[in-house]
Amino acid sequence: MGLKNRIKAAPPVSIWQWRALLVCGCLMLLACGGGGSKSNLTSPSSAAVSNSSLASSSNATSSASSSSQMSSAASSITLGGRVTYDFVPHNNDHIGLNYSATTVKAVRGVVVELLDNKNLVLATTITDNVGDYSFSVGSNKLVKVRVKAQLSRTQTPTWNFKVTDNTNSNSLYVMDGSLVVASDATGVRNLHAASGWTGTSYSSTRVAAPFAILDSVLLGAEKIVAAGNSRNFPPLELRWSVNNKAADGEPTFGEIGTSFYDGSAIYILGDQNSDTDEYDRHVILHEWGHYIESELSRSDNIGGDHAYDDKLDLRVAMSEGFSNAFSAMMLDDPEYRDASGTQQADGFSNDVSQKNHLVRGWYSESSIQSILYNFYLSENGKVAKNFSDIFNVFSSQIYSENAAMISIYTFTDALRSVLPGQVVNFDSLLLEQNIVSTNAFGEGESNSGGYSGSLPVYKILATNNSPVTVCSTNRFGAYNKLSVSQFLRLEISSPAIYRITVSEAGSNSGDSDPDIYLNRNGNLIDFAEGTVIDQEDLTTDTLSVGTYVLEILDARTADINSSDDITACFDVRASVSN
Amino acid sequence: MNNMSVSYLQFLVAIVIIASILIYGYGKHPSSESIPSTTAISSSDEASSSSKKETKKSHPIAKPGAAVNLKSTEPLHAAAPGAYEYQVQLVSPNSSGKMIVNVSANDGVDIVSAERQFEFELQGNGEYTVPLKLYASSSGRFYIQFNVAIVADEKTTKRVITTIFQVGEPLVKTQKTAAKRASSDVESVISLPAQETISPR
Repeated sequence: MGLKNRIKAAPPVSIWQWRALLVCGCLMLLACGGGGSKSNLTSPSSAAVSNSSLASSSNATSSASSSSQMSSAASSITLGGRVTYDFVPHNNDHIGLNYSATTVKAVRGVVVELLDNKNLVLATTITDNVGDYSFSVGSNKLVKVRVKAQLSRTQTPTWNFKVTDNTNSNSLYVMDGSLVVASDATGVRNLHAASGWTGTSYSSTRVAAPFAILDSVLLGAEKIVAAGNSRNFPPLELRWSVNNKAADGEPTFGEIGTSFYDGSAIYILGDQNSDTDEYDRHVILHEWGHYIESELSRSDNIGGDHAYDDKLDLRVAMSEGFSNAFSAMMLDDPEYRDASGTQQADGFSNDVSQKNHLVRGWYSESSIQSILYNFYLSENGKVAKNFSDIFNVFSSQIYSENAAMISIYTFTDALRSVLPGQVVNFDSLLLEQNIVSTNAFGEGESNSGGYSGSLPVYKILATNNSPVTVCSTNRFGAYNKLSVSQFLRLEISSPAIYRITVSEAGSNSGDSDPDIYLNRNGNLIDFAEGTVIDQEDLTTDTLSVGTYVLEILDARTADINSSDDITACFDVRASVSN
Repeated sequence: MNNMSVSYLQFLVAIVIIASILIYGYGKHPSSESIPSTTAISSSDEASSSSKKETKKSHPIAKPGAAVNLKSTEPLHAAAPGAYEYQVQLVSPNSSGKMIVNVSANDGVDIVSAERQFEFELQGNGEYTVPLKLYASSSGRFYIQFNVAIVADEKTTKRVITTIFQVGEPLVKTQKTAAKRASSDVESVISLPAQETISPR
């Protein structure tokens, strides 16, 4: 029995166990006269958050405390206030942070807890749009207010975003008030998260940073919901630390390399006088955009470094261009900006609406960002700055389940179905960037990026063992750059086991190391990464009828540590395995 | 006696209700439910997908920045405190423009060499050497920052790159902290101090 079947077979036992427990529980309650206790207790570690009363949020380990709360409910008071944080904007020229322009902003949508003197949670609520919260609490009880670096929403679409510290066991940041007796005289408790900036450095605790990060994320989440999203947002941790620096090494030491999304969490730099990103809202939303495309749509991004004038793998160009435009759309600010350097006074900016790029094409993140952002701005037969147009394309089934790898071509293909009235408008934006799109596989494209081997975007591989020659090159850079990977479209018309072979062809490029990756609808379903020189061989499982995409590359061209100029050509063949 | 009769009746009613729930529930057993497939992938395709996804390709999805990297991300090593010379190599695929590099170090290490700023004319896939003399007075893990600006096509992009300078033996990494969190239901927190104002309501 396979693992999958074993997992499917497991629930009956478990459900019977639960039902047995239910029977026992009901019998016990009946034996007790129907549940005389009025306690409605939950675990202290429960993640459920609501505008709760004291009774409903008290916990099992604090029944005595709860009882005293209950008994003192007659003399309860309202305790509340406002939660704020320091927001540091960029300079007017978009370079560096301007600490003298620091403003106080509301901490919105975060979880606030009322704790007693034993740190037991008495009540939980969420701040509103101006950062206000309130509790009903028994008077004369020692309490403190805790603001968690956690955005929580329990109505659909739900979300749960936390800022944690990867250098401290992924612990959650919280901001604590002081333990003071609850009374009318202490009923208003305003809590402020300070930036920690003292004029020349962050010499005080940087309390505001986690809340600044969350405020950017909340802004994005609200826009996604306004665009029509009804799917729950999967939980996400954003891991930030003052120790997070631009060194590649051990993440628990803070050696994260750069701010990035790894498919399960977002890591954010926090190293002052070098690179720290908590106030770089475009950076936060760029990485959060990667999370959105991965979780609410589909991304085939293979990661790696990238720059505005790179010639990139089409999957990377699409994802990075989208995320650049996404951050600009969420903020309604086309100037992507990223502060760094001594006192965060340095940095760079990039106008994502700009159309005149040195590098233009389907392989350019600059082209993609400008196409998407200018489409967002367009009033040509649509409402300007309405993100729902792009979101509807981006979240459509035709996009997320496309047989082709995700690129500007798949976006255009989906747009033709979802927004047929915008095809002409969108095509004109594509043409400005030297892109011609007739279908999801980029058929008809004539922009080679200066390397003829990059066209056609997808080669056609028949299953009759006829060779198709493709070349893997690092002439534009390694790993995620244009033509490191070559793509072949494989149409399977009869279910069978297939054999795919790759062997070096043409001039000898040295000891090549071809690899094969077989994808269906963006899912990697098989691969071969053998070390035999100049050849590779993949015998598949039974392939069902449909369209597949083969990715072929020379592992040497994917090696970012290689400084050799490599172009290796291969004959690729596919046939039914005997 | 009357009380006992009421309790017994309650018991019987409960048994009937629970039996009804269980019988109804059995008919809706999860094992008889099918899981809708969102794609047309065959079972053999799915099996392959779940079991063969660990490829050697793995890079994080990073923020934008200048197209420059360290040629090697291996730490600079020194066996003991003292002064050492290194040739740090940066690589950039850019074929035009210039690259300006400002070097700094964090607490615990001094850059002894006089030159802190370097400027290079870029060539395609070029390597650019930054000579450094570093001094550490004690063992530890230190960091050298390269604040890099690439100016090309009238545009400036930047990236901060940091190299690790390990003096003496590195700390042995353990997984105790991660294991500790996984084994505990209680959420661990880092308490930050609020600037709190308390006033009457």
